[in-house]
Amino acid sequence: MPALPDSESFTALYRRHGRDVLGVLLRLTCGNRAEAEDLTQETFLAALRGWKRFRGDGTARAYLVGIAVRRWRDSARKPRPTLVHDDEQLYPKIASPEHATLARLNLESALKQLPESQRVALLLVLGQGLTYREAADALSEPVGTVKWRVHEATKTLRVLLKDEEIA
Amino acid sequence: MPCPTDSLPLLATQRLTGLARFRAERHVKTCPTCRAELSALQSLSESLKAALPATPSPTLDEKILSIRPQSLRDDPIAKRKENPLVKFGSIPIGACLGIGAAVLITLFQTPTYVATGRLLVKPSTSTGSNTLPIMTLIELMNTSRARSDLQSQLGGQLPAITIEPIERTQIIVVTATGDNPVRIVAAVNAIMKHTQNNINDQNRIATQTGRVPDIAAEVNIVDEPTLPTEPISPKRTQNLVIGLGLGMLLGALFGFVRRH
Repeated sequence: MPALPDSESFTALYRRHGRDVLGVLLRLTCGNRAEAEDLTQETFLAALRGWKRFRGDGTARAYLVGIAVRRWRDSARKPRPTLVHDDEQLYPKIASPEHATLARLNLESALKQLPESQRVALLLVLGQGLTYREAADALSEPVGTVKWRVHEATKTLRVLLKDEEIA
Repeated sequence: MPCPTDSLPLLATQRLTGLARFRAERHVKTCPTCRAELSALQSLSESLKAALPATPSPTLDEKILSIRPQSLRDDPIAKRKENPLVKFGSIPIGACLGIGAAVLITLFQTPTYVATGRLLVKPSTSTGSNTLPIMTLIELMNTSRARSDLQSQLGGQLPAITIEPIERTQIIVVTATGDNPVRIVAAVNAIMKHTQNNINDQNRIATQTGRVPDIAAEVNIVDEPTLPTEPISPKRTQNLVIGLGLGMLLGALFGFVRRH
């Protein structure tokens, strides 16, 4: 059972994984930055409170992303105000050629059409670069299920984006 | 070699390692389908990563970095999670308490046993009477004199005794209830034998002297009581089930009240 981290370790943890957690939450909340930041704060607070349950047999990133996804799911069940898309936060590195703008809008639209479970698995594995095992730990699901969801999600996306460069 | 479909997403994100990576890369070089698939996955991964990571705002940095991990030891939510009622749930705890209470009640409750015997009452052949004085016989068995005779025979306090007829039959049932199985069997035996001997002796004397007997009937013991091995109360299984049910119910009620 790992001891509670000291302030320095916690700061290092946040510096290392804060962007990943916020990135996942920004994507899950469709660019609602205020909600994503609130959930990021809740995620780190919950991570500390549940530190005793972090057995250390997975990566810290998978542990934090798992909490972030659960927090987002809890929050998604509650009634929320209309989502505000913040494309500048979602796509900061993409310049504004017309083709790129069209591609990102199509990707965003296609992602929304995926079932939630497939979208989350795809974001963790292809977006976040988690292994199947790490994603399975984060989502509390079997590795085979995560593999299948990623496979199905990429297959569906390929169909949805078949005319686009990205697919 | 079959296409390593599952490995391609990890190859695209550079998370495939070791032999699996070596095999997948070797396969991709020779398989145009997998090469195209890998390229598509790399593009998709790049597009998704372009959205990530996002830069946290200074406010978020400040909020999170102001958290002092050590102070969470006294955090009420952390403490609440350590509370056994929250950790394990109030229903299982209530069930355990209910079962515990039922076990204690069962252990401390005095066991009660019951013994039963049956008498057959027949019309007396010597007197030629056709009437059956069953109720009279029962009343005589219940008199205080009969009870004092029984007490002097058994000694100590008598167990609870009931004497009842079975409707539309010639049978009288004698039942004794008490905490001592040997004593209640002895009491039933004593009552039945005392009645049988008294009535039959009286009839025999009346026949010999030519008098009319008080109770013109013959009494025979048809069913002697057996030593009970199991008490009729407390009922252990029933108590445990009631304890479990009540405990769960109270646990659920407690949890509901606590939550709302």
